Amino acid sequence: MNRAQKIARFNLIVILTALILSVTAVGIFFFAFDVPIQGALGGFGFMGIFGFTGLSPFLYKKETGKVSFDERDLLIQRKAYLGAYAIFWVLFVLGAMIPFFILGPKGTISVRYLPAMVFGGWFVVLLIQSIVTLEEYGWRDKGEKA
Amino acid sequence: MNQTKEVSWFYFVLGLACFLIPGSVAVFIAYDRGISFAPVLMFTGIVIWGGLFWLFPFICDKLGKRKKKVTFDERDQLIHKKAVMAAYVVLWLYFVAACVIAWCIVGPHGSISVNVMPLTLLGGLVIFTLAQGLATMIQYGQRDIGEKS
Repeated sequence: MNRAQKIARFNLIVILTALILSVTAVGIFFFAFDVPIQGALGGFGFMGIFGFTGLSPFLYKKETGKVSFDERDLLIQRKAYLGAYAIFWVLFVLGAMIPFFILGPKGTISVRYLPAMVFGGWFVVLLIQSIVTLEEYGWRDKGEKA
Repeated sequence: MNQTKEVSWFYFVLGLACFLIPGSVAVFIAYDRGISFAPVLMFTGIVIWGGLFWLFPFICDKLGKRKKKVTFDERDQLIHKKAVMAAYVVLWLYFVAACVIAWCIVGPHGSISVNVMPLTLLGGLVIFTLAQGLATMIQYGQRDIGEKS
C-alpha cells in the first residue's frame, strides 16, 4: 500500500468512527434516556474525532530520497478531488434550497446552520475523496509501493 | 482560433441557453403566480446543472471517440481539469467566507432569511464560472497564438 492509500484508509476509518459514534450516542440519548432531541443532538460531540484526520500526513510521512508521487498518483488525486467536489456541489445546492422549500420565502433560519454546512461540506469532501482514492488504487494491498 | 477554442465558445453559448431559458421561465412563473414549488425546483435544477456543466466536455469527448478528428486531446483535458480544480478551490473559499461573514454580521444567536441561501448559491455559480474561465484563459494564453487541432 502506498502513502496516499494509507492516508485515505486512515481518513475513512476516522470519519466512519466519528459518524457511527455520533449517531449511536444521539440514538441512545434520545431513545434510552428520553433526553429531548435538542439535548440528544449533543451526541454529535463525537464528531470531534473527525479532527484526527489532520494527523494523517504526519502519521504517514514521505520517505526521503524516494519518489513517492508520480503522474498516476497525481491523476488519481485529481479524480478524487473532482469527484468529491462534484458531490459537494450537489449537497451544497440541496442544503441551501431545502430550508427554502420547507420554510417558504418568508422563513428565517438560525445562523448556526451556516457553520454546520461548512463542517458538513468538509466532512463530505474528505469522505468522498477517501472513497474515490481507495476505489482507484484498490481497497486491498496489491503490493503497491511508493 | 483552434477548434478547441471554438468548441469552448459553443459550450459557452449552449450553457447560456441552458441557464437563461429555464431561468427566465422560472422567474416568469414566480412573477406571475408567486413563489411556489415549481419555480424553486426549477431554480435548484438549474443551479445543480450549472455547477456540473464542467462535466460536459468529458461526456462529449467520450461520445465523440468514434469520430476520426481529435478535438479534445490529453492536453485540453488536463487544462480543463486544472481549471475546474482551481474553480472548486475558489468556490470552497467563497462558501466558507460567505458562511463566516453571515455569522459575524448577525451574531451567534441571530437568524437569516432563507432568501440569502439561493443568493449565496447564485454568487457561487458566478464565481465558479468566472474562476474556471479565467484559469482556462491563463493556461491556453489569452490571445490566438496559432494553435490548431
